[in-house]
Amino acid sequence: MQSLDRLDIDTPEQIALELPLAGIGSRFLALTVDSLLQLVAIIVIFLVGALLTIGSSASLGWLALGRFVSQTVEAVIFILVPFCLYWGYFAFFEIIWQGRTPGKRVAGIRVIHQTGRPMTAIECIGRNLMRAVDILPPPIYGVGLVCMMCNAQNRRLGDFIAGTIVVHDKALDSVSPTWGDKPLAGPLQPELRKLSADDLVLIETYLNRRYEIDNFVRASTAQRIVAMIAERSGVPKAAGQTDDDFLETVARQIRDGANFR
Amino acid sequence: MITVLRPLSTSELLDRTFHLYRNNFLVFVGIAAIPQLFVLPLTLGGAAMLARRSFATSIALTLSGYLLFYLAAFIAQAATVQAVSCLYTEKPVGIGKSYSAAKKALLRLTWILFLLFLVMVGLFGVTGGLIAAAVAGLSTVSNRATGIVVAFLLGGAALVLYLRLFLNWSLVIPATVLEGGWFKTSVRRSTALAEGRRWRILVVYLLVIGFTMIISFAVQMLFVFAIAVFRIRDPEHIQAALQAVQAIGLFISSSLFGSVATIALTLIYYDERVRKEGFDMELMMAGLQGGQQAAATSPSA
Repeated sequence: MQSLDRLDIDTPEQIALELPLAGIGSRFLALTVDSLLQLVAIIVIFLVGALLTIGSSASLGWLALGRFVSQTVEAVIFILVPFCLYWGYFAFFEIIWQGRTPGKRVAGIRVIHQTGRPMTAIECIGRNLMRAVDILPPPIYGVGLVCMMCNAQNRRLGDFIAGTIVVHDKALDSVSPTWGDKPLAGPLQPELRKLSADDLVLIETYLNRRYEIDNFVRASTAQRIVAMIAERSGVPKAAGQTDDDFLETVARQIRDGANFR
Repeated sequence: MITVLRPLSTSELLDRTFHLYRNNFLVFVGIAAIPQLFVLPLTLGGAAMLARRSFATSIALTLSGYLLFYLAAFIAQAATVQAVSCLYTEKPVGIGKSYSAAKKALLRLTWILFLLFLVMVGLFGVTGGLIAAAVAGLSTVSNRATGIVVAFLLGGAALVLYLRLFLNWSLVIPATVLEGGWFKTSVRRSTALAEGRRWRILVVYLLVIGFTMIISFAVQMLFVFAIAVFRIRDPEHIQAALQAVQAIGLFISSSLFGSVATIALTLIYYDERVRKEGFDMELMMAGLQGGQQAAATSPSA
């Protein structure tokens, strides 16, 4: 099953990049986390503001200047700071964390330019200013949602204005195999060429995932794969060889032999 | 080609939910809308009877409409699970095909959900009674404040218990529809799959339900505003108009968004099977043994 929407980009160096696009689900998760963080920050600011206002009124109350200072503190804390927090939060984090906010970090997504390069500060600010339209009717992001549903790249209006897209970050450990570090024992066996690319996908999936699954399931799955591979290729498992070792050897031999097909 | 799957992160799972929904919009909306079409005449009839001041008939029609609404939702859920299953295993999908595949499970699913409802009602009764008895006992031997504090603590503990049970049972629908077990088997299966992953299920459930509720509310509000636009001010008709508009709003929102939560739960069910049982490898082996071999191309070295 094609799991996610994808964007293919050809770089000027003729390198094809395939980017998994973030959809409504992951973006909604990120937005929820960011909104909760903003809410907590606003509550803290209001509490601190209330304490400061009470403090400044009490200590400066006898001065004519006291009321002015108190009102200014109130205005800054109750109007300016929440305004900056609401409008600056996304732009600030996306600029300093290269397209990610705390919510986007949690969801494992990142904003980049549609050409694949990181977005600039101006693009980032432009994208986030358009939230004022995307959020309509507040707070359900109706405009943004309809816009995202109607284009294949899941872009909201802000993304169209700034030329940005949101993609899934790929962790390095998810692309590095957890097998293949043992030296190859024995010569290449020509019978293994009977196996197809799908057989290799099956073996590699098992080898990459074997430590994550239950021991009983792991043992029975390995046994079944070994029996199937031995039957399909005609290469039996050697005496004393474990199922995992047999599958590693087969996968290494297919990979190494691929160059000579 | 064989079907290649892998464990999904929470955000990938949410994305896949909306990806399936958007790319098969008509199928999922059709599945959700068909049973609701039988509910709509009852709820609209209730509103019409209210306008004619036939209150008893109106209440009877409206109540039976809302009862049927839940039954319709269960039926649509079973068909949605079948549709997601077909999409997950890369088989062709359609509204008729999904209902035809789900029809064997309909009675079983309704019975299981009814039993779960009874269990929950029983639990509410027992825990509520225990809390009331404890508070009453404490209030007589100690002061009232202690009773209130204990009531809050016991109430909190009961809520945690309900939540845990709810999450344990959250995968019952896909488990019974796809595997065919009855009450005990399906509940055990769901509990086993949810084991250790309850927080994730809770997060996905809250986000999807929250999302669909917000959008459904917005859709229903659009219809309520229609009353203001049509300037219905007669107090005798405004209640009937509101009921009619709510019935239409409920029909549209449940048809449009009713399947999203079920898609998410079915994907969680499959994801847990991939993680815990190597279901992806099972599928690959079945694909290879079934002769669905890809051309023997060289794997990229």
